[in-house]
Order: sequence, then structure tokens, then C-alpha cells
Amino acid sequence: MSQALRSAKERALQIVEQASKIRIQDARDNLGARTSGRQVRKANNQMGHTQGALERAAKPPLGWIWGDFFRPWQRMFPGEKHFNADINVRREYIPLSLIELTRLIDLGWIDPSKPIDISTLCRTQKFQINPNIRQYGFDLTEEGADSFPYAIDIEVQYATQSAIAAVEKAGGRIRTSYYDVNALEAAIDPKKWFEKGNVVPQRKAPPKTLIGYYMDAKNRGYLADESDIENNRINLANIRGYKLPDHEMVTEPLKTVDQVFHGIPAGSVISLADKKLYSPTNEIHREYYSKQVADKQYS
Amino acid sequence: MFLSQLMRQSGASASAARNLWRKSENPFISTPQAWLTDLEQVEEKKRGIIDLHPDVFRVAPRLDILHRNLTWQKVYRNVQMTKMLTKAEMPGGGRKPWPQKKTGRAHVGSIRQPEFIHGGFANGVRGPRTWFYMLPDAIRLQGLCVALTLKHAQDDLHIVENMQDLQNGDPKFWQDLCESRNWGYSVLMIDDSDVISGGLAEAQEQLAWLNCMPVYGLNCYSIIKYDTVVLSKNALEKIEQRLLQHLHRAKPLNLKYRYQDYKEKILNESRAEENPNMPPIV
Repeated sequence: MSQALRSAKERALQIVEQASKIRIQDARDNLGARTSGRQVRKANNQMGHTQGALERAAKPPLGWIWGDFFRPWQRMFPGEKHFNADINVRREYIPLSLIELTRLIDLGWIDPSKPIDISTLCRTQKFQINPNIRQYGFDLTEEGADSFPYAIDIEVQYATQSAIAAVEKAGGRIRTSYYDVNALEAAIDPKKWFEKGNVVPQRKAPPKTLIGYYMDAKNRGYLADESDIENNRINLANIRGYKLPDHEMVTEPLKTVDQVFHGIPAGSVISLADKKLYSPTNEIHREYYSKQVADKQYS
Repeated sequence: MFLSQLMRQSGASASAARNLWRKSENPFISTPQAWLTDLEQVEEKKRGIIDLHPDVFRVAPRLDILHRNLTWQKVYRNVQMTKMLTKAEMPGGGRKPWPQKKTGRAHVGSIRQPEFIHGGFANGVRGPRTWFYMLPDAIRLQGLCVALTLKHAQDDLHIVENMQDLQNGDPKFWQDLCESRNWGYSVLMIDDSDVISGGLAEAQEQLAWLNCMPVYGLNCYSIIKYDTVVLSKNALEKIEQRLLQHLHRAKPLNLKYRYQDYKEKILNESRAEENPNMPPIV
């Protein structure tokens, strides 16, 4: 390799190779690695501003949230009854764009030949989901839908029509499914859940407001009929004008409506040390976990 | 490669091929190589060439990272046990030595005041004081890679087939061996097992400049301190595996290293070593 093509690392190592033996006293900091405090100019010096000065300063008018002082919140949204009324109710979904997903697969963090769900996505450690602050999973957004190359089998909690179309155009399968707080906590960190000795929970049915979303085949909801979903898949391809591949990507059979992990039925206890799955032996427990309708409300 | 031509000339048998985990596909990153030798005889016999992982043995020689590691290793163990006594902690001195006024002398309340000879100390050294801190995991990891790279780049890293159960334990033999191979003033042998037996064990007991270390004891200071580092083949495998596992970790370890988490472990550490004639080690 010519001199010009060498990387900085190789050039540095060449110097090391020609140098005498590097000893303890030769290791030192880079030039300028440690600096003392910077002297600020008189004009920029902010010292002397106290808490009291801030307290006595002029405040923005009541209701101001952003921008113009004469457009407070109550004038921007005159129909709203309360400010942030649903803050303790509304659900948050972590946006996951198709381009991010492509990059995760490119870099080897996700294996496209296996089913992708919350556990797979959280295992990459690139996302944090905290069910305690009402984060309910992933929202698959359409950024990067133009050139999504992988046929994947993915399960998210919310997906736009463009994202669904992009996944299906590439030959993938997509389902949206609801995880309640308990199931989500298990799915986010299965190792922690299993080590605690907790029982693999049943996935509860979605709340009233979300039932419609997850029963709609248009959204590829997990409560919708598979035949409906197939029709909608063809329909969406016709509307958007792309040709569906012959085979849909199927890595594993779909989870049942109350299942959290692929291959692990609800009600079992996992021992990571023994690599064993313990099913419930008690008849009452077995019946409870095999019902597949978890909520009394919707049974 | 140049080395493989040499190998053909010397008639070395073993091949360089090793399965390097997650090696970069980049054609501009060359794979570092090292001779595989043994410790059976004084002369160096080349058994083959072995591939080393470029992420461990060919990283940028960041001397500043190495410096941080070395300083940390020197400093974190320091404990200052000196405690200079204050006026209150000195014996006596409770009585007012002379009346406050009308003696013409200083107004003093105690003979242990700091201005007195044999008085207490006002701003003395108040031990015990520690300089303990924990270097971030990433810096320690990179430091190890840098140290190994430096040793390899300067031809001070050697790979041998085996270190266990060697025949010859004569110190003269080992001295001749290291001298004929130009291994410098001090040699560090690293094996994957923490128990070593045979000739090397006998020799290193008598030779101060020859030392052995298990893989888990590997550290920047020792690697740089010794003129030559000799790895056994098993040790090489293990070092690469451990370092690469951490280099490709998804998440930072973010360990807090709080005393309260390690207290029980530290306090129970010396339980087996307790001696009836000595005070307990805590």
C-alpha cells in the first residue's frame, strides 16, 4: 500500500514501530488535554445574577406556551377545556422509522430471519421503553419507506399505512398488537423478568378506545381475522400500485392473543440456569392460563 | 504477505488461519500476525504464524489513553494513613497555663495550642485519605488494546504453544533462552489458567525478572512495565474473546462501583486468611 493510502492509525503505528521501546514514563496526555478554566470577557460575564433577580424579572403573560406573547394557549386553542387534560392517560409510542430499522439490520443488531417484536428491538439497547410513564411500545413510521429492502416479520404497537405498505411491498409481514403494562415490562427485559421468577404473564385485551384499532384489518391488528387481513393486503397493494411478492415472510407462527414471547405460553416459569420451561401443573392455574381471554371486561 | 514468504523459507508447519470473530471486511485493515514458537529449547523455533485480531492488536496507539490507565493504576491504591493530632486530641492542655491578663505574656488557654512547641496542629494532614477512583470501562478496555498493540508493534509480544508442564526448570536455561531470543531485561508470561506447573513455575520462583500471570490479571501497567510479554495460545484466544465481547457489547456496563455494593464482598474477603496472632485484615 502506498504512503498516501495509509490511514492515520497505520502512520502512527509506523512511528511506534521505529521508536525505541515505549516505557511507563513515555505515556502522557495529548497536548491541551487538560485546560484550566476559561476567562470570560466582561460583556459575557453572567455572574451576579441571583435567584432573586430571576424571581423579580418580568414574566410572560398567563397562558403563554410558545412564540408570540399575544397568542397564549387559550387563544391558540379556544375550544380546549383544559390544558394537558389527558396527560395522565395518553399513551406514548416510541417512533421507529423504517430507515432506522434498515440500519439496525444492516449493522447486525437485528436478524431479519427471525421475528421482530418488542423484545428483539429492546435487546439492541438502542431504545428505552418505560411502561411506568405510559410508554406503550413502538410506532413504525414511514421514513425510509421508499427503499425498504428487507422482508421481515415484525410486530409493533402502531403503524402508519405507508409503513405497512412498505413492509408488505418488500415481502414482509406486519402486525400491530397491544401490550398491557405488565406484559410490556416482561417483554422489554425478559432476562430480568425470568430471573425474578415471575410467571410469564398473559397479554390483556386492549382498552375500549383501542379495541377498534386492533380489530381493524386495515391496521393489521392482531385481533382482526386473518382472511380479512389477507384481503386488505391485496387491496392496499392495488390502491398503492405495487405488486405483492409471491411469498409472505413467515418466520414463526403468529403469537396467540395472550402470548408475550414466541414459543412460551402464558403461565409458565422460566429457569435460565437450567434452560427449562416449567408449565403450571395445578388444574385451576392451567385452566386460567389456557382461556386466552384475559379480561373479565371483554369475555 | 511478507511473513508468509518467510514462513515458507523456514519450513514452518502451522497455518495462519484463525477464525477472527467480527473482523472488519475493510480491505485497508490488514491482519496483524505473530510467530508461533515454543519454550522447549533455547533457540527460537518458528512453529508457524498466527493471525491476531486487528481490533485488539492493531488499534490506534493512543498514548494518552495508556497514560490515563497507568496513572489510575498507580494512584487508586494510595491511602494516606497519617493523622496529625489537633489541640483537642493531644493529651493534657486542659488547664489555663497562666492568667489571661497582667502577666505580660500571651493570652493563651492551653499548652497544646498550635503556636506552642509540642502543641497540636491547626491545619495538619488528617488521614485516612484515599485517591481511589474508577476509570470508565471503555477507557480501561481501550487501554488494554493500546498496550497490546504497542507490544506487538515493537516486536515485544510473543505467542507460544504451551506454558504448562515444561521439562526444564533450570534458571540458567531460562536466562539463556530469553537472552538468545533478545527478550530484554524482564519477561511476563501470560497463561489462561491461574495455576502454573512444571519448569516455568520452578524457574520463575528463582528469577526476579521472570513472572507469570493469569489472563484475568492482565493490566496496562504490567504489559508496559515488562520488556517482553509472552502469551500462550490459549491465553491469546481468551484475551481476544473477552476484549471483543466487551468491544461489541450493546450497552455500556455503567457500573457504579459504590462501596455499599461491594462492602460485604470486601469485608468477607479475608475471612479465610485470618491468623490468630495477627489483627484481622479488613
